Amino acid sequence: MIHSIRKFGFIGMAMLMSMLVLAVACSSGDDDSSSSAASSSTTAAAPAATTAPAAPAEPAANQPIYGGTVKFAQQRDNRVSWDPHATRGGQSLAQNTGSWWHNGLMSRAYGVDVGGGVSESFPDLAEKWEVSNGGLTYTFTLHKGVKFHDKAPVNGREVTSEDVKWSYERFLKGPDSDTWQLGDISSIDTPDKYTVVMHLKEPVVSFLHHVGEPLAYILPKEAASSPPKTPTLTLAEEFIAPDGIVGTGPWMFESHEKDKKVVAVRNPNYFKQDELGNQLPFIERMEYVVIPDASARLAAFTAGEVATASPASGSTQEAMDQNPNANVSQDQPTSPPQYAFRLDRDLFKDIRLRRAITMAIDQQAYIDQLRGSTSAHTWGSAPATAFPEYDITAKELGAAAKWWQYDPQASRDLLAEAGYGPNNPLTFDFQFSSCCKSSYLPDLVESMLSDVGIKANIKIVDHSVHLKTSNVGKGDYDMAHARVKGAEIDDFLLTLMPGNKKNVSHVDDPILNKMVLAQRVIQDPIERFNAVREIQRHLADKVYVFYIPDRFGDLLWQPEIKGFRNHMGNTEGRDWERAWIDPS
Amino acid sequence: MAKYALQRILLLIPSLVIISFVTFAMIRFIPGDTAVAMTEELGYAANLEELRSLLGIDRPIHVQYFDWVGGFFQGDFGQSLWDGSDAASELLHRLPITLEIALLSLLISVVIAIPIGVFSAVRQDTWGDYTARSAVVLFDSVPHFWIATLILILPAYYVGWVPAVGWVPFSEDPIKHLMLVGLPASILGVGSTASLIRLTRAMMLETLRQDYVRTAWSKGLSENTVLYRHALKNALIPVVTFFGLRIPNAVSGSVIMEAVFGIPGVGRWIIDAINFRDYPQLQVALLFIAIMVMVSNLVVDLFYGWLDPRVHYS
Repeated sequence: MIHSIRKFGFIGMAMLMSMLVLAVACSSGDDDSSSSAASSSTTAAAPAATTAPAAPAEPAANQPIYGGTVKFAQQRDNRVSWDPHATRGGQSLAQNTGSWWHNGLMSRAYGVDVGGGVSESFPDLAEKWEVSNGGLTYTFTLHKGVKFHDKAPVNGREVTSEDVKWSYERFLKGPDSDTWQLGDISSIDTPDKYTVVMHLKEPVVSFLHHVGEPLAYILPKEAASSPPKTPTLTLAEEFIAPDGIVGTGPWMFESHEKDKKVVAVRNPNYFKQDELGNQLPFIERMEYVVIPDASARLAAFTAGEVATASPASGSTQEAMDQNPNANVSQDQPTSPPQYAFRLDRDLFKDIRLRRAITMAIDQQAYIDQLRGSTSAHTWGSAPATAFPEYDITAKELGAAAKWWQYDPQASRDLLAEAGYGPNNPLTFDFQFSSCCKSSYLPDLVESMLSDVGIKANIKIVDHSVHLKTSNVGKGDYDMAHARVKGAEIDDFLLTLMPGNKKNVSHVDDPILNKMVLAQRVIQDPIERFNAVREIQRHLADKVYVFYIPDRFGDLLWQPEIKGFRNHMGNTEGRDWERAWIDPS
Repeated sequence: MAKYALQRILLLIPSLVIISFVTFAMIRFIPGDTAVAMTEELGYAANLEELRSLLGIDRPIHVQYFDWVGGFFQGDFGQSLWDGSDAASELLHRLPITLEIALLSLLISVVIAIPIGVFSAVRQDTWGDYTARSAVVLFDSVPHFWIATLILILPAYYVGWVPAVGWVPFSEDPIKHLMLVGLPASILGVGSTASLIRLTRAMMLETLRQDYVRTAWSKGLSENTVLYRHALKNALIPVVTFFGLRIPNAVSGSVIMEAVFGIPGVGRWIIDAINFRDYPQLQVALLFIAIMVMVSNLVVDLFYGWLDPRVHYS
């Protein structure tokens, strides 16, 4: 070896080093040099090489043009099944891309002019719907002529009501954690090829939200493989990538290279058109590349390599400063955080102690420390943090508002009334997950409680421990943070009912139970709104759960992308189906 | 030498058995098992107990261990608990990527360090020596991941350009492949030259003071002959040991580079396996790294004999 090195000599070594340096120096930023269109995240292609209507050679201003590639970066690849009925929350790539290939009957709100706070369901495969039989029957009419992707064995056949029925029944048997949202369905009928009738067990007014929320995509059963490949999947069959991922969505699954990228190509037969009659979608190719490092992802966005960036907590402003021309959306997450009192243990059965704690916490200081865009003072009511239409003011809250005003002296007085003081401080265990210190601010809360003489023993536990304990209301602690997720305020109110697995506070209040069940079936919107308002007042007074201010979910996107607006939830496909790339 | 090599190889077996059990057991002591991690991502069963039963991780640990070892002897290294993929195939698929970065980084560090170390020794206490030694301290002080992050962020911020990230096989696009490998390997290689330069310099200085080197000078041999034929070969013996020990370090260094540059190698695979408690995946990877360390140590020991004929194996 030494002989070889000697023979190779220093000149050879120098040449080798030079070559390496040169190779590095010449390295271009693109991740795929195979095509110039794919070299940049938002490369506008010239004329579209698809069956879409031909784009004008000289597009007028704001006239969408076809073609181009949009590239996204994701922290990690999909570790689970690509089967859309076999995924659930978290950062699953299968979930993020699910709406590229699939459509549901309804969808969460989407559209360029639709704000992020809108929680209504929008039509997707359903063209229209009708509610009858006192809210017990929902009749959906499907768009006619909608075709699945032109891939074997489905070969572009038309979607029928039987596909909807089969998909919903399969979804309800599956592992998705959102299946409970459709648990009100008692049966599904298909009187003809384009009509789906869903019968409910009770006339739940939030049902339409639930049809749009979960990942109950409509799938062609002949594309599934049986038995499933995923070891723990309990469904009889599985949709396996790449061949089994067949839907009706705007892009078709082309390839997946593990830990590298997922590639989608335009579906030329997508069933939607824009208001001008242009065939959607406009973008030819969509890619997700895996870039594990957050700094690298942001750098790739700054350099124009990827189309979007989700800045790390509290660093959105910094990212916006680096990318002054980028578009940004800042929306409230649909999973509001809470501090939950354990009402199944003795300590916090005393309402004075719960109220003393809420009055000891300065929500404005909390919001200031969260940095960036956040929800406002919560007034402790049912989660207006997730549904702005239920925002409530101190005046509307009435007498209960005082429990949610920062008032350290009143807090001390209540503690004294309950028998606690400087010589006998209120002491309790407060559990947090290790994952989320920057969102739940345990140090700040500990300090604020300490100011009124409360000694909170902060327990930071591994996230896996949190999932088994504080996330489900179990374990040895008196108070903890948790998150719940839902499509409509009804979902959150249900988590305050006995028996609900997300009732982490173990609330069991007969008056509240009655009020929650009653609001579910009130068909008149104003009457229901008032009923929810009453519940909000009741909750604010009883202080069972402290919904805390939350940091918004922020997304930046490149300025050349037009026709796009981000929304929270699984709406990527819907959000991007009208997007196009402005080459100017 | 063949007998010695055989003895060493046989000694690897008990070491491997111990390592396999320790790694098997230790990863199960990490709080939160696969079922818990899955429940966060998925809802594949009604409860954790049912999920553990489906995955087979509810059985006693010794039963799981012997089951795994039994499969090992039949060429079955286990399947991912998440997606059912074959752990050994996945490792073999990713291994060349990590090894390429690790070996290239070692090559770069040798190519840089040995000439500088020799130069620094030959020109002891000159400005060149001082400069080289100062650079050594600098390289030693700066973490690799920090340099890598700066290399990605600063050009993006100031000139709107980022170095290539991701992975393209050599067979698909050789130039692009070299670009993707070159930067992480260079960062790792340059960053790890410091100790090698220091060691080479120290060993050269010691060797250059030996009688046989003085004899070579007095015979009127050229500088190159004295330095490279007589001094360097003997000075390199400890350097080779050091080089052998650097191989596992280079692999672990490439883990960070893989994360920063989005390279789908073994390092990222291991980190994912830890995060998701994918036991079969982690077991295979850790066992492989253990084998690699032991084999590299063995190769280094055997290499001594070639470098220094005075070394006898018995």
